[in-house]
Amino acid sequence: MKKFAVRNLRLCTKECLCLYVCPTGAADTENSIIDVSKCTGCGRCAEACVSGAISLIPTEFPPQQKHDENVISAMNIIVNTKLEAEHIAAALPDRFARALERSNRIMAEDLLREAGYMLPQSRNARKFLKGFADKGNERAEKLLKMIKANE
Amino acid sequence: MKKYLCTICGHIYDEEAGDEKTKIPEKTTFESLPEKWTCPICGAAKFEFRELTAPKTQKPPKTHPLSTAGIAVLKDSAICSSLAKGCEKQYKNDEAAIYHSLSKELKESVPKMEGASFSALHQRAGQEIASLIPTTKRVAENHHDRGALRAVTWAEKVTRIHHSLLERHAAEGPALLKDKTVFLCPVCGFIFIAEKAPSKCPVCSVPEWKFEIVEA
Repeated sequence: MKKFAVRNLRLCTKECLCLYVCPTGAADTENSIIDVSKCTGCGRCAEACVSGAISLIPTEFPPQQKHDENVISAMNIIVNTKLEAEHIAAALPDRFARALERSNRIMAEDLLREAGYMLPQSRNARKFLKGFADKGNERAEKLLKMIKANE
Repeated sequence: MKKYLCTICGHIYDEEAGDEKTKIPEKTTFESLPEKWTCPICGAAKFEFRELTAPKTQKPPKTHPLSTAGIAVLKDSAICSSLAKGCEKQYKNDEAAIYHSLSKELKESVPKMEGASFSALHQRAGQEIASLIPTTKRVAENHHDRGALRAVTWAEKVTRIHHSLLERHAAEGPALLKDKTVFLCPVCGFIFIAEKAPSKCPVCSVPEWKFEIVEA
């Protein structure tokens, strides 16, 4: 499976072994971000890194986990109530209301991921975008071209 | 019967209800809880709790419910913001930016609610904890869907925190925020109002640096 390396700057302690082992020089950049155009995904940098700061991100993913229809509809009931709560909080003043607004959105997103929208490459995500693209939404069309389907 | 607040995570121990998770029967006073008893949400010791003064009871004003069409648009917005995060995790930043812009536009297209109130949120959180969330949890359990169960479990804990904070907000008003910072866990939605962020999220366990500070 094709992969590419990324460096987590929070963990990188600049031991620089990746620079020694990288066969293409992809790890040696002025902004510390591994150059994806040079990275071959060989994984030597990740193996050599003493700080565990480099991981390999696959470019292809397996189909997302399936969920039963009953689970999906039960999850969606809470998604709706969280979104209604977000909507109420959005109309209220102060930092506490902002936190409640964002918190309800975070929960809705998490529940939606477990209700069939985990992977941007999934059939569901594409079907969702297609609905917008069919109505002439150019950004949705662009996303459909940029993200490859995996199922 | 009194209520006690966990000052670490905001969980409320209600003497009237006891605590199912730690097998504390109904009508157990906080005093009589075993000394080794800890917060069922974050594991804080008993001494971290303080007594909660009863909030002023007030009837929540009627709010106009969001139309079905409005909810559908917000749901599309949330699918977009969720997939944006999915793209970010794969370092697809351009794709993430497009999803974010779609999400924002959809959210802004829903007219702002009139007559919104904190008490309406408080009441809703109470209803979610009492019926909606346990029902969904059971469905996930019956289908052995650990992923869904994980998401609902986090949502349940965070909703309890909302409920407890809204209860305090009703009692204390804006004093709740005085000299305090509002921290938000961007992973599970846990809200923490204090001087300092917790060393790890009591709901989803991410480290302190993940917390975001919420501004007005």
